[in-house]
Amino acid sequence: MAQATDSPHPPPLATRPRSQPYLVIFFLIFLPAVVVTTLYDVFDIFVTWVWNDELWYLDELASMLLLCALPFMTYMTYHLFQLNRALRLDEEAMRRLATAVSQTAEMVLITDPSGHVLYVNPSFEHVTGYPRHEVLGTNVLHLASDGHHQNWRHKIVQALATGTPFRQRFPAPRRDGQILHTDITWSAVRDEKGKITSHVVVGRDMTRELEWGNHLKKSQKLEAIGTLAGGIAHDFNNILTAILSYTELTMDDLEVPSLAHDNLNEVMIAANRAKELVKQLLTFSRRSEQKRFPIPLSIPLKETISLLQAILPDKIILEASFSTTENWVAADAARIQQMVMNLCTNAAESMEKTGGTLRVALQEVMVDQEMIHNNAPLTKLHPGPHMRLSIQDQGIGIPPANRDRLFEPFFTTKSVGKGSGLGLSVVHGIIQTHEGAITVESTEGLGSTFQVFLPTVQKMADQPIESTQRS
Amino acid sequence: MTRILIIEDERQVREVLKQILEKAGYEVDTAEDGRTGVEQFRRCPAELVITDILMPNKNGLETIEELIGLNPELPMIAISGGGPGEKAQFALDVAKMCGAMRVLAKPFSRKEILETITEILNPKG
Repeated sequence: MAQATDSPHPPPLATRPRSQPYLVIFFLIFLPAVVVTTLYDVFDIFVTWVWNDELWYLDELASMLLLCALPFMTYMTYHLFQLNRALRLDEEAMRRLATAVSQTAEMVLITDPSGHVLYVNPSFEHVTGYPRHEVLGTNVLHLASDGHHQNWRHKIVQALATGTPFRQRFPAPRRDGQILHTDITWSAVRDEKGKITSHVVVGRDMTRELEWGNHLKKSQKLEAIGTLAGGIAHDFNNILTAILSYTELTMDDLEVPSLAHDNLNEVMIAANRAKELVKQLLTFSRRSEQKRFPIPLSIPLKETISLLQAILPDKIILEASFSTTENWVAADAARIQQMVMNLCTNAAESMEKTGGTLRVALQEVMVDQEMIHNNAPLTKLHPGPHMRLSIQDQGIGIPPANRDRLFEPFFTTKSVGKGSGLGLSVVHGIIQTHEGAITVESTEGLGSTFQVFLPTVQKMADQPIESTQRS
Repeated sequence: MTRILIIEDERQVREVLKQILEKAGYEVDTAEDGRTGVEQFRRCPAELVITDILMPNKNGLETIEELIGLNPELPMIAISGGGPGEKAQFALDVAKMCGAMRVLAKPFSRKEILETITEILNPKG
């Protein structure tokens, strides 16, 4: 069965058609019986015509047999048709199954009972980089290089022997040498008697999730340290103000030169050194809070959307769409979430009375000179690929007079006490830090659309990206 | 005599600043939080307000907002301990956008604060 053909091998079926015994009976017994009796009838006619009537009973026997056979033949014909139909349905089911396996986004690998690869689906080829013909026929145990995999090798050996299903995460090498983090489920396939006929391995590429998890851990650690440092610095500066200022004032009342004056001068020198130290601490805290790493925007965006779905009132419907391709953006995930949250709460509030749909979409777009030329806010951008986040509401809209003041701090159209007017200015600040731009379109009574453009970066880098806006 | 209002929650900073300013010839009112500060200002409007940015019980930015509401031309000096990095930086950036505003980072020297006050009260041109 292990042949490299172009059509995907259908997975082996668990059952075979059960109707064969009827076919056997039909073809070996009754069909000959009918043929024989017909022949005998012919012979009989010949006999009575040419010879005499002594063999009259053969004639009657022949007719009886023929009569009995008729209903059965009718039934058999009917049954044959049923059989044919069942076989066709089986074939359809088989084709459906085969298509599902070959088109699923999960990797599927099927081996024979001893572990030789019988089939891999296109997803496997795509994700691992191994074309089908290089893998078919080889044993699963040989597929991976020896280095990493000693610990789970025995699991596979055991599964091959006993058929115990298992689930495992492990790093597998792609054809180009890069490590692929996979999450696989291994199951044995058995026939009616319980004997293993093949093994099915279904796997998922987890590399991106793992990288994201690591990045999150790293940036959370840094942020925690940064916040701590910042908090300490704040109190320290208050203390230093007291020390420096009181000392300064006291030195006014002392004679120059005098020991007391000199001593207090030393206090000033020491306190100023402390001041410099705290400044360094603050710089570290600020830098660690503003670190940007290349991340896929869809991840923090999806988290914010889940949160929004929980807190938005029922009359506001939240629709989110993501493009199929996505490049990464050098971003601070927490700030991105804050930005999306602010924009969405504004949008939701504009629809407070009437309700409506809030559409959030993330798409990769190419920003060219023409776009930059036609749209004033985009002049800050460099031409090239960007991720565009658009937030569209069906609310009351923004009057043209207010359009220019939108991002001003403290500017708000909300009634006193309902908002500080800082939401959009925070958004603006975040976009600036990310070297992006924001455009606004609005029609009063119909709604508004905010579009945020953020430049993309190439690969996942290990180094954080320094913000160009702040020191 | 020019009246200055100091709004600062740290007692020592508040008191040493009062000493420094009174010594330099200013009349000084103090308040330990934004709310009290605004009340004080309403009772007895000062010609300059020095306020901390990050304080409990009505934060510095809201205080600034309210004071500007009472006197749009009010000269102000915002002082900051540095705080949780980004929040303070943002607060300072915003404060800079309001009226005649200067920002000073703690700890400042006597010279720094007095020169800033002089500059802000006697704008050139």
